[in-house]
Parts: sequence; structure tokens; C-alpha cells
Amino acid sequence: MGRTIFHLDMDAYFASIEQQANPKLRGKPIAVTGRPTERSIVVAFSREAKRFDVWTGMPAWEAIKACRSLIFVPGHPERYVETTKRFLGILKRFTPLIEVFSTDEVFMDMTRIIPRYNGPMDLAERIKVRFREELGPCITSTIGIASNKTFAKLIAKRHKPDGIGHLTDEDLPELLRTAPVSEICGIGPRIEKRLSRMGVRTLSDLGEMPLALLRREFGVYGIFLKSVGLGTDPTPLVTYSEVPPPKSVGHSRSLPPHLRTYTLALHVLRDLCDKVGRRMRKLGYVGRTVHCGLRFGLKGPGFSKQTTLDTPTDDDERIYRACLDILSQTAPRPEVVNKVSVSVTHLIPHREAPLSLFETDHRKEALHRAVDHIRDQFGEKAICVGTSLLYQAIPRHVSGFVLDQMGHRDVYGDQYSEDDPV
Amino acid sequence: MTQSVNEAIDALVIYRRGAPHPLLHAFRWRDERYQVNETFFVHRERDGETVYLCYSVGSGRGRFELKLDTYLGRWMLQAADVSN
Repeated sequence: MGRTIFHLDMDAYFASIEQQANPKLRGKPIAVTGRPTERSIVVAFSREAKRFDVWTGMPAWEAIKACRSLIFVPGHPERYVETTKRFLGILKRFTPLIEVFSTDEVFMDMTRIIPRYNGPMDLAERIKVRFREELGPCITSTIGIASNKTFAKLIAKRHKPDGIGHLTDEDLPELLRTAPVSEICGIGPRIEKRLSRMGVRTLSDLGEMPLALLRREFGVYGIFLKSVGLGTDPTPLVTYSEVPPPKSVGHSRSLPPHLRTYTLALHVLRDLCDKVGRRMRKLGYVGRTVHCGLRFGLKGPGFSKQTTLDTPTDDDERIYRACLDILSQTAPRPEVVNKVSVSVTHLIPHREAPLSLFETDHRKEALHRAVDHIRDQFGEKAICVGTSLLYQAIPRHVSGFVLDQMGHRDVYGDQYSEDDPV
Repeated sequence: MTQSVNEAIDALVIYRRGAPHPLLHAFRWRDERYQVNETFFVHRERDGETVYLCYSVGSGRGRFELKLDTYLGRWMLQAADVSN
């Protein structure tokens, strides 16, 4: 029996949530930004704004040029997290087979659920009714239905906004014949160009290509391309209970103008190390490889290096010292630092890490437990490293990645990360 | 335009069985009673163990943002937009 996969994509997600929370914004072109300054970038647009030549990631000053009546709204990450939790809660009433693809996108395997309804369109309509009733009239979604994830996503994209699309077996050959390869999620401009050089423009062209040729050109990815060209995609759903363990934990910050000196950037870096250590301890992981990076100037060159520690750690001070070791290799010392980043990789569960024989390490662990306990009880700002008081705190802002970071792991839990978005 | 307020207020709330959060019925601010006609959005914020419920509501006189400290049971009016 073939699968019935639903791809549900929220429409203009952050912007529609803001419009739901504030009726004065409804029906108007709005842009969700980080900070309400000209320097910030636009994280999301309302569907009214999308009629103009605007796109996500556009600087605010450029967006206002494209749409004079654009209203800038500072983002509210908590609202987005709440809505994601709520819509996942609604979907879980229909099926437990849900893959959280991103903050505002999920795949659902409805194969076994469909017989209870009058077909997939009826089920999709019922989901949308529940959304309207429980999330509000502004927060709409589009559902694409197909026999696999790739085509469900493609169909959803074609029926935006607030639509339902169903790709039946009868419609598939026509779609393969007419759809350009660039419509497939995972085929970007570079792969499209390479395929174009091979004479492949539509999906059916792709299906006709010999597998051996695609494998030679694209490696293992060629297998995926071939299956997509044939209208199949055996990729299984990764439900939230099967989410793989994290591969890295990291944070980065673009610095506002008043923090762009090297010394102040180091204070920010110390804070980021604190956040990384805290998150690793929350997740129960320790790691050995520390990556640290700086970017000089607005679009200037960057510096990024890594170092591997003798033993894995979740100690923020050790991570920071590793970063300082890395940065000592930059010569000459930069005057302007635009962005700092730190991440830890080669993670293993804390319980699998070798026990230290040194008393100081045990004391450090006890200190971390105490600090984490204070933060769990009184909030992240209740206790902090002294250096974070030496600079004016960077205002919290929202970015498109804020929820993606947490979407897979934390939206199902009771607590969610209070970390600043990267 | 939304103005920041941050003042403690009295609130009349209904705890309805099965509702995901308490329903704000009316509130008193600066000796005036505001009847809540519509709740546009409610979300949770967390600071340590304290959970806040943040309401965006409409009365006939404007839109208001309120916050319930669920630990202390205190209501704050955070912001008001009483412009037309």
C-alpha cells in the first residue's frame, strides 16, 4: 500500500502570528524584524508585503524602499514557540507520526488514519478547521498531500497560501513532465545548473537519466535525484521520538556598533561560551572540539579555527580558554570585530565521558550544578559571569533560526531554551 | 500606538474547565473598568520556574497587553494601545 504523506506549512508564520496578536496589523504589509532600527534585517513578511519585491533577510532600509507602507514589528520568539507547540498539539490528536521539519513545517504520515475519514482532502480540511478554531483566523496553513515527502512539499508550495493540494497517482506523470527540477526541495541553483548542463530541465528528464551517470556526477545524492525523477522518494519520516542526538552545540552573535572592539567582543564571546556550556549540560553532552570564529568588518574577512581538547568538557570556562588559545593565533589583533561565534563538536553523552581523577574538576562540576539550579529556578539572568556586566547587554531579537534550533528537541518538552537567537 | 504601562491591575478572570488558560473577563486600570471583548493571543513566557501568561486582548477602547504571574497570581498591564 502506498503512503499518504501530508506536508503542512504555515503561511507567513511569524507575521501572521503578529497579525493575530494585534488586529491593527491585519490586512497590512508588515515585516518582522529583530531590532527596530534601519540596520536590522527582515525576518519575515506578511502575505500583504509579499506582493512587493521583498524577501527574507533583506535589510530594513531596502525593504522600506520596496514597500513604502511597510510596518516594522519587533519579533516575539515566545509567541512563535507557543504557536508551534499549540499546532503540534493539534496535529498529535490526529497522528503521532509527525516529523518536525522546521518551526513552521511538518510532515505527517497519515496512511493509517485516512480510512477513518472521507479521503485525504476531508482530513486536511478538518485539520485546517481545528487550526482556525484554536489558533485564530490569521494563522493559516497550507497542506500538500502526496505519496512521499518531496512531492507533498512541492504540492504545498504550489497551493500557498491557505490551500490544500493533493497529488494523485493520475496527476503524477503530468507533473513530472512539466515541473522544473528547481521546484524540488534540495535542488538548489548550483545542482540545477549542473543538471541543466546534462540536458535535464524537468523531473521527467531527470527520471530518464541513467542512475550510473547521476551517481558518477552527484555521488549518493544521485540516487535521491533518480528517485525524485521517477516520482518516488522513499525517505522515511523521522518522528519526534526518533530525533538523532545533537552533533554540535554553538552560538554566534552579530555585534552592534558599540561592541565592535576586540575587548568587548571577548566579553560577548565569554557569554556565548557560558550559553554553550549551559546548553550542553542541559542536553547531557560533553564535547572535545571547540570551534571559534570572528568576522572583521561588515562584510569583511573572517577568522575561524578549531582545537581539540584532551578530554571532553561542558565547562564554559574551559571552552572559553580554548577559544582564547585559538584567537591567540590571529595576528595582528583585529580592531573591529563584527561577529563572534563558538561551537563545540564531537559530542558524547556525559555519562560516557571518563571520570576525572582531580578534585578541582569535581568541584567545578558541583559549581555548575549549583549555577544551573539557580538558573532553572530564578531565570537565566539570575547569575552570570562577571564580564557580562562589563558591556551593555545586547537586546534580545528574533531571527529565522531561533526556533529551528529548538524545533526538533525542545518544542515537545515543557521547557524551552531561553537562549538568544543566533 | 502601543504605549508601555507596566502597572499592577485588578483582573476579573474565569477559570473554565478544559480551557488552555484562564479567560480574562475584565480588568480595572486607573479606576476605570475595561471589559474584554476579545482575546487575540495568549502565550507563555518563562523566567526560571516562574511562568507568565501574556495576553493580547481587545476592549471597546483599544488593545491591551497583560501579563499574569502564575506563581504570585498577580496581573500587570504591560502596554496599551488606546488610539483609534
